[in-house]
Amino acid sequence: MSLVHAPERAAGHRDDLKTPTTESTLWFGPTDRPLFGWVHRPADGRAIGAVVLCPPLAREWTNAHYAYRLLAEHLAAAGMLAVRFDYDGTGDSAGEDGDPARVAAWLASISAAVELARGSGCPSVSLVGMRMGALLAAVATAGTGSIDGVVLWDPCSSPRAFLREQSALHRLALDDHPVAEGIVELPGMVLDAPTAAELSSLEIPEVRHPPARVLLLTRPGRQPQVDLAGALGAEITEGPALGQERLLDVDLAEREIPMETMGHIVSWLATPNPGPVGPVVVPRRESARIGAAGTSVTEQTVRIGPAGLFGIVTDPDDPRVSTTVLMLNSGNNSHVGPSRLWVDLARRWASMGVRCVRFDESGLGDSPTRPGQAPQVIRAPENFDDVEDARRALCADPADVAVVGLCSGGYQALEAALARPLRAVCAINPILHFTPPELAHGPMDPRRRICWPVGSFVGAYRLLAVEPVRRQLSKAVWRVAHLLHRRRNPAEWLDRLRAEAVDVLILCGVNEARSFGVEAYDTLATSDGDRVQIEVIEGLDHALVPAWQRADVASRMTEHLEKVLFLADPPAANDAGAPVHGPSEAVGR
Amino acid sequence: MAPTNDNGVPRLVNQELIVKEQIRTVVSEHARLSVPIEELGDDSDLFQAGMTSHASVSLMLALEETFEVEFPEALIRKSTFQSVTSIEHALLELGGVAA
Repeated sequence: MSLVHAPERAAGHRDDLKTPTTESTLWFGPTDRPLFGWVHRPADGRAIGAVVLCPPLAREWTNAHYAYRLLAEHLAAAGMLAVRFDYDGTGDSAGEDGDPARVAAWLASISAAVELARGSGCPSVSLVGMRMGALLAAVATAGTGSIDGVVLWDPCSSPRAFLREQSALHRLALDDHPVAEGIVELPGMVLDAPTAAELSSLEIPEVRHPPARVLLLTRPGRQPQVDLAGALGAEITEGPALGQERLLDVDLAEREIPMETMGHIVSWLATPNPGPVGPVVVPRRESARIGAAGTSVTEQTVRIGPAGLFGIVTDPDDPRVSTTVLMLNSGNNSHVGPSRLWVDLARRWASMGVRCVRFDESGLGDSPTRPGQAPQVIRAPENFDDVEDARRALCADPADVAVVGLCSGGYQALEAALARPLRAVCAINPILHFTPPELAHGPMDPRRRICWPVGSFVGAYRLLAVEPVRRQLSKAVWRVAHLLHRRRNPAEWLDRLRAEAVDVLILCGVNEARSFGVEAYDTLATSDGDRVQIEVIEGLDHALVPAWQRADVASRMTEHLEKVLFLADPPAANDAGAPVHGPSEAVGR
Repeated sequence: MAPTNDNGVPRLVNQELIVKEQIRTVVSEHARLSVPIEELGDDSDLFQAGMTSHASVSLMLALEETFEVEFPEALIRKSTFQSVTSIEHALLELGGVAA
């Protein structure tokens, strides 16, 4: 087993960082609603100042997450202590986005992070905020006092404009999905109506202690409606927010990190340099009690395997089963899952007695890369090692595991079950047809058992505009393909999973169901007693962006998990001689 | 007989042309199409021409500024921003364009 509970680690040698740094995780703030954060600092423990990074909201949080991680690492390498954190009800912090009085909770989160930074012993504290994070940082600055510098990075033109843009994006991306009344739904976030109204009318209060200086970075033609820097009453430096379109206004898989702007921010904050003080002190709170479904669960950060993958274990007070649920990345979304679904499910399932672990595969989210691996690569072959390391590190019996994933995570969950039998798999919208990244420089990794590499032939086939022709061609193509590659045929490998006594739930939309091949899909109908359940849900959004779809899928997954872990008879030895799963402490039979 | 301008062109037709050109200008500046707007007809599908959801939001905001209107929630749908013609119809409905 290779599992480290100590949350501190050296960031290791990085060519892009000029000095070594250390990073640690902690919970802080109110004990009954703990906030989750990261502290990055110079490895020698001495810092010239502290910087608190206020994240954007909703989908912009998702797109900016990796940029914030890099910015924090570079600030630490430049001699500063950087705190990045999740607002109350977001990311890994306690609470939910739909809770009441969010604006006050977000501002209180910034205040708590500032207190954390100030308590470290650093001589000064500055704030950086992007988009809504910039507006919240400006408001917090007015109320907090004694802030040295404030970086307003591509601030929204107003809170109302942010709500309008994001709710429009939600509607235009999904179109026909119903929009619930009484809530304002943004991509990746739901606000209750009073919170939305409060956010809309948010203004910077009278500044009691103006910051010493303000850096305002704006996109061309996108000046904030509010004179933010003027309202803060400080010396203003203006500059361009380069690369924001490619960071925020694109799908997550296509985003680019605005390194030039981040370099500007780091050098602005590092100047003037009063010289380091130290050692700075970072408190340790390595686990937290989190309220969930009327009870409480315990969360703890872990480092997994030789690569030191980052994960959070959610433990029940009263474990009811021996099985551990592993939750995988969806694309290059972080360990919080699609629109934070893994956080919600981990806490809900732990409250039911099931241990859950959400973690970042190598090069994604908050995990490091493996030697020679490029960061932010989806479906990397190293993901096979990542899942195997997690199984070995977190479970006494690596077969007594349920793996959950969406999109690339759904694919990897199915591969994990075929690599070594496990208890259960839940794959949502798994994509089986893609170009594995290793094909750019060599052959396909032999561990890929169910991937169908996508080539120019498929692209050409998709260009055929005439639907009936396309449909007929599709059938012919799949018939031939499945004959040539029988082992990759979903019907074949699903049979193998049945024989290995793996319980499989696949939830997918109509388009994703085609990953199983039109011909094969017609033959994949399953019965109630089958270990393999495939549910094709009409209109299911690939990333589960609509809140009602997340709720529906969460219910189906929970129902399946209960059936598999709590109600089913312990799996017996099968005819194929597959390993029998460890005894479950199942109840409620 | 329909009113005409100084050149004898019916005014309504002339206005429609001006509005369409204004819409086309806004589309070309904000829709981030993968093909030049000149290659698209008034009924061409802008989403098929490469407009993303993010770009359609930018387009919506730019149209609001240009025509001094605000799209209500009921009109914030893909079909509203599908083509130059559908945009024109929406603007007419909102009173941003004189009929």
